[in-house]
Amino acid sequence: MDMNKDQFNFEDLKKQWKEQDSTVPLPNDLTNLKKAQTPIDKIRKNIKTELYLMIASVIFLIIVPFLPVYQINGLSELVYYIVLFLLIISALPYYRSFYSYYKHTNNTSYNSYRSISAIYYELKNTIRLYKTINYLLVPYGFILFFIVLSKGRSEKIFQIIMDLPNSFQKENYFYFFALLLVILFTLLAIFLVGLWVNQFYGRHLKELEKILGEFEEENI
Amino acid sequence: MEKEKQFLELLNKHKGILYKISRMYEDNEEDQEELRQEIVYHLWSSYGDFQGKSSFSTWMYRVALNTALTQFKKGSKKAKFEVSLNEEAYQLKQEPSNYEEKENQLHHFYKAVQELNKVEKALIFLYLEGMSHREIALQLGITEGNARVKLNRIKDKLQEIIIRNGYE
Repeated sequence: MDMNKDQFNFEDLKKQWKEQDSTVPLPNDLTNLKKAQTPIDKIRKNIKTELYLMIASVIFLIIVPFLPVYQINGLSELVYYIVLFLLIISALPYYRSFYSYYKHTNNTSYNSYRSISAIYYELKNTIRLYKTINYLLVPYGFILFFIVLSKGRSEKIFQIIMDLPNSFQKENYFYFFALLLVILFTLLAIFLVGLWVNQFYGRHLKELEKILGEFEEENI
Repeated sequence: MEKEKQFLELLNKHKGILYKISRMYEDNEEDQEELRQEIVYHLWSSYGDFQGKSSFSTWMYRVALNTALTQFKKGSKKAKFEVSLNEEAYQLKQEPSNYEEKENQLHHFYKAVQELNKVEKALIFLYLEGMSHREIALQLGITEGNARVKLNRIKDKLQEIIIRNGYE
């Protein structure tokens, strides 16, 4: 091999590069080819699973007030169906927009900078959408579960809320405390969703940002 | 079936790209295999979009590099290919255990290249494949000047790493 002691010869390397044995195992057929999931695939899979769960939950929630065991009557029933209706109509546009770019085009054949930029913005939008859906559903979900699990006591709370000035005087602190607890749990859940999304997907976004930075022009 | 056969033939013809990219981007055999699997998946899934306007190898460089650039470490074991080749012989080749291999520039290069960032790896790979600055710039989506400057810096950086690692 012709080379100086302290000099790495790139022309020599080029020759060896061409001549190197590049034997590599290849698949016999493509039917069993498994794709490792990208962060975008994972988040989409989650949204899709949650959509199916939501459809099943909505069907169940529609019939819940008809079940005597939960004792959802009067004002509670009215609030229950209003919240359920709001939940459905607010979540629908988000799931619709999610599906509009669910069938995304394969962009791995763009030039590298364009391809990575496309993945970066797609991941950013998907994370934003994912957070929005969760932020929307968590408070509605909490109100519904509160009504269902309170077994009739929620009606009393709604009456207190409707009659706030008088109810203060009647010292129904227990119900205010319960309501405050629900609000706190809702806020905590929203915070945890944000934290979870950032933890699992945000790091991929940072990694992509880093790679995009590596393409930047060098100063001569 | 005909399409699949044609694809596998082309893949076999250009398998060197798979080998070199996976060895440059990953330093252990398991991760290299995972990356190759991911690249083959992307190549096959976008093969329908390949219209033959450029050569298969040019298109393959692009898809393979883009996959390598956006591959994230997952830390999980993936299903292995059903290999038609002798795995044992292949793995022996991967181990630079003999004297000749240790003396080889390529061995030093593959070791040193692990210290480069992902974009630097792409640049030096395309350079070694014999591409001009203009072709490298087009593949990566950067300016020709940027490709030239980066490449010179990468070569200097590699020299330093290799010398530091005791190459003589």
